[in-house]
Amino acid sequence: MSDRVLINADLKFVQDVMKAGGGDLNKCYQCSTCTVACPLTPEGAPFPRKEMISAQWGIKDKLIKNIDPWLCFHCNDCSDQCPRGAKPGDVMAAIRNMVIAEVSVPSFISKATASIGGVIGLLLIPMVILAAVILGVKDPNLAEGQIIFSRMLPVTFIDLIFVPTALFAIITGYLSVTKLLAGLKEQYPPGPDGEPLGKALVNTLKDIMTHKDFKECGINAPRNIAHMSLFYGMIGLAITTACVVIIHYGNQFFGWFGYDTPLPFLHPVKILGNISALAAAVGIFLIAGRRMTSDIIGNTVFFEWMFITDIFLIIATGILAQVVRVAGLNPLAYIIYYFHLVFVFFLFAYAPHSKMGHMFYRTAALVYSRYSGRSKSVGVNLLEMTKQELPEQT
Amino acid sequence: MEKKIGVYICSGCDIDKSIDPEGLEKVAKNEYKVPICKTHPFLCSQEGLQLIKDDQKNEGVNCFVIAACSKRHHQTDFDMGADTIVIRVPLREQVAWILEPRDAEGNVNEDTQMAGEDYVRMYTSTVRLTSVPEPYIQEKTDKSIAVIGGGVAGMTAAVQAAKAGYDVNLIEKSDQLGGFALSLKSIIPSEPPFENLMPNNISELVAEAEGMGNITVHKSSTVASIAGEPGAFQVKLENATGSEFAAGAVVMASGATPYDASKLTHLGIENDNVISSIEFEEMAKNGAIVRKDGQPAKSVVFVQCAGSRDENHLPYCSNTCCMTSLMQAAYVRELDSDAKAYIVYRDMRTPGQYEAFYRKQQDDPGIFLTKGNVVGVNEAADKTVNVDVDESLLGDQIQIQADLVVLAVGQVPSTLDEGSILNLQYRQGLDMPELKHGYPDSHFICFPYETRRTGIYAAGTVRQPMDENFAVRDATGAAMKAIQSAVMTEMGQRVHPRSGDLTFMSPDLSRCTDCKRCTEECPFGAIDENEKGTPLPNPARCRSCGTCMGACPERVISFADYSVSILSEMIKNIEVPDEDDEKPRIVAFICENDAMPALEQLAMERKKISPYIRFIPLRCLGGNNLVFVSDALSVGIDGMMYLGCKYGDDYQCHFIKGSELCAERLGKVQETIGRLSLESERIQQFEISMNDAPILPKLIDDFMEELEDYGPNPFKGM
Repeated sequence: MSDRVLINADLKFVQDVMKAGGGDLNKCYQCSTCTVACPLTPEGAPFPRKEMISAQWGIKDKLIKNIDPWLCFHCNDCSDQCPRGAKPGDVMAAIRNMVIAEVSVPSFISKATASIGGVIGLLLIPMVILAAVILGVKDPNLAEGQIIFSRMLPVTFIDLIFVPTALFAIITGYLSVTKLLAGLKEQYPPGPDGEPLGKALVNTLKDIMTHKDFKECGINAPRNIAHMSLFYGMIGLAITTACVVIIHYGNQFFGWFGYDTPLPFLHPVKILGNISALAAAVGIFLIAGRRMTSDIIGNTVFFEWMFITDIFLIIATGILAQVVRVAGLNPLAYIIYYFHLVFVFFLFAYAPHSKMGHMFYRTAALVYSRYSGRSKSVGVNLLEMTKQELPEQT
Repeated sequence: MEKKIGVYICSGCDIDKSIDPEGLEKVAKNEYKVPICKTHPFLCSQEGLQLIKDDQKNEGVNCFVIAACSKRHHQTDFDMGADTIVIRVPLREQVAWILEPRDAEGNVNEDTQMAGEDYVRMYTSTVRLTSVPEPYIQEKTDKSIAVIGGGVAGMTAAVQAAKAGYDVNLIEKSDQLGGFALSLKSIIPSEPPFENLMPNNISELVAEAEGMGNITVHKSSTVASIAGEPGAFQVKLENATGSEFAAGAVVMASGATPYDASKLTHLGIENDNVISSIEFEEMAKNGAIVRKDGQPAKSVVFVQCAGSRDENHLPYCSNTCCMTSLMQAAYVRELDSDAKAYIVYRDMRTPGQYEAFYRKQQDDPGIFLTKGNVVGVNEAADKTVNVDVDESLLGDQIQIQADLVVLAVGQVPSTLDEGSILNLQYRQGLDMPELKHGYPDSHFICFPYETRRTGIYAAGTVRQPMDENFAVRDATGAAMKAIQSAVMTEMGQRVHPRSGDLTFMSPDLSRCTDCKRCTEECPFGAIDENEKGTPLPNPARCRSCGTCMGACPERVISFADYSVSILSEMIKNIEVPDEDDEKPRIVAFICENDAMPALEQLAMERKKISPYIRFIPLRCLGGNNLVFVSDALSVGIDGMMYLGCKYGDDYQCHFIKGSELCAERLGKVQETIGRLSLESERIQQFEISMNDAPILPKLIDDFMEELEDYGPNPFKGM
């Protein structure tokens, strides 16, 4: 009986990681400058040196079930200091992309997100559904009168479409996260240094709200502002949406407010909505702009551009729809609003399968890292965890 | 030759800021009755040189004592032509710059002035013992080159020498030229971008070597004997015709053999699907990479340092195996894009431009690299080979499964093959002295092609482990050295490291006792013996280091301008002050090759040392004759320092054995000194390298301090 770990290099997986953004991973010669440069790695069994060799050898199991890629915030201090240009930061990002593709259910959606053809297919779903519903329920005199979006698609129908969509995302997201956590548990069983689940959850949320980890980044510190701006912008928009729902149904069913949407510009919810939209716009411009111009930001692959583009289009169509509505441009306002809904649907429905999924996966992994004790420098020998029994030598 | 001496003192370069030239002139004129003695403020200027030349022309001066800078400077300026003797007194480096200068009032320092005067005495005294060297000219100097070995190195040496216009005899033991390179599929890239394998072009080199008019190829031949000396070697071959020819110089390019993989049982060589890199190359050359059962090998593990850097096998690195495995991994990937090549290395060594090739292979996702120690290679029942690796980059204990395992084996020089390659008819044996592992000894740091047999140059894998590209450069260099040796021999000049020296050892055989010390100790095996043991010098083999001169108990070996009597005379002409003057005197024999430049470096920095020391340069510490010790002690010298090169395993001696022999001889004399109730610590040898200037002052001070404890030499003034 040998207690050696069988290593079977997976050429296909190496090529996949290269395609997913880690194109330079083979340049690594294991000097471990990256682990020294990394401001975020725990001291025990630090990353990303070991992830680099695992990626070079295509040791899929070790990477998919690895928590460390989720502790990495792609600061790229490692890539900046890498003497070989192997870009460990990009490799970690590629591994995360691979994990999303691997754990998200149903898997046909993740397969579709990998290609332009697939993405067009995914876009056609909301386009067809929304177009069909709109054609069925729209105000027949839409071409005349004040532009009110609910005349094209009444709020009830919006909710009839989007509530199930959100439910779909929540259910698939839950299943996907469960799959991720099962893998993480296999490699990092909860240890004595772990925090109780509740505390881990609260602390993680606190870290996320303050962007604590982003702030540790060295050369890539501006990412913190970009992400924070988009992050709070999106939260603001979510709150705005919630308020609008309350105002609408409150008014409709209980007669609470005495007015309905669209709200006047000086209404607090409207102000919140517009400020949030502007914050999100600033955030997405910074993110996209820096990814296009900065050398230190790292590689951006199709999978990531798809997400960035979707967010950009949601914000752009959202703001434009309002501007064009106020300007009274009919039917342009309705067309833009239609596309706005399509893009929002795309973001919601495929959240676990796209880069949006990082919202679930990273949060779950961060909570788990506190819960398991990995966040506190607990070094776990990955190989020990994946030991297989080998047949007796002859 | 009627000698007429002129002493010329230079007061430039700040010499007169430390020394009063008038005092020096007085010493020359009064003590040595020198007819002509002049001081010039800029002796190496046109005007200064003209002053000397005028005396040569008008006064008939033919012995020039130039008291200025050391002989390491202005060599050609002070060359006074044929039939002259030029002796350089290093006033600038050994007195003016390195001892206390005049004080603020302009008064010379007494000790500095004494040193200056002593050096004038020491060198002027040698004029009468020095003679003009007469070059050793052979009756007929053959300048053809004999090249042993018809592989890449041998053929390259032959072609290069032939292109330079010299006749070549190329000797190959097999029936075809090409050597090891014939077995290669591709060769390691030698051209930019150094990323792509190059087709094996050995046949072009074979055609070139065979096609050149001035190369005579002797196939199926080995060397039966080589006798003689550079310019006049007689080479006899062992072949069908028993060919014989003369040669001016020899290039030994007899190559290497791969390490015997069958000894690598710890790496599972006995298994069906474990083969050596040599077998793999042959397989790849034939176009298929397969297991023994004929199935294609989809995963191949290359094990680096297989028997290399291993005390039980080859203790050294063979330089080539890393590149070979990277190249062979490329074969695996070229033949099948789904195949995997693993390389388990101890250190990936791809020096120089080879790094580019390494990076190219590293970029291939199908080549998996890890550092690690292969601890077991075992074949399973299905003939899959399990390679157990410890301390890998992937974890402490891993196992890789492979269809085929390739052991990258190193090189063993052909000098370790049975029988002699050179069959030298020399007193010191048939072969070249070896340093380690069968590789020829030389001052390899500075002069790689040199060996300890003058006129015979090693090149290619017999000299050091190397690949074809390196062998081409190596052989070209060796061919040039061989030509140089033949040409210099024709002119009666010594070769490296005293290139151009016309002197050579000449024994006065009438006083020789046939003790054989010189024939044994010559680091270059230059001296043969007759049956009685009387030395038979081969001047063209001599490197003129003087090791034989130091060895000779009868002191009968001399050089025209370098002899035991000259050096003794220098010691005896040091003025030793009385005991109560409390001015000790130390003689320091200093090696001209490394210790002397170190001292001059110190002088250039104007660092100061003790003024009680008098330096006497030696061509090599090997020239130290024990009579110098008794000479020095008997004239009242308080202590002696020997400053020479490091010796031992990592020696730096330019003459290989000189400093070591000096130490050995001094060890023998210690006892005698003790019997004279003198402290043996009064005589010490120090290892000094070229960059040791900073430690010299303290080394000397510490020695002086130690001497103080022993008090003055009791023989002083006797």
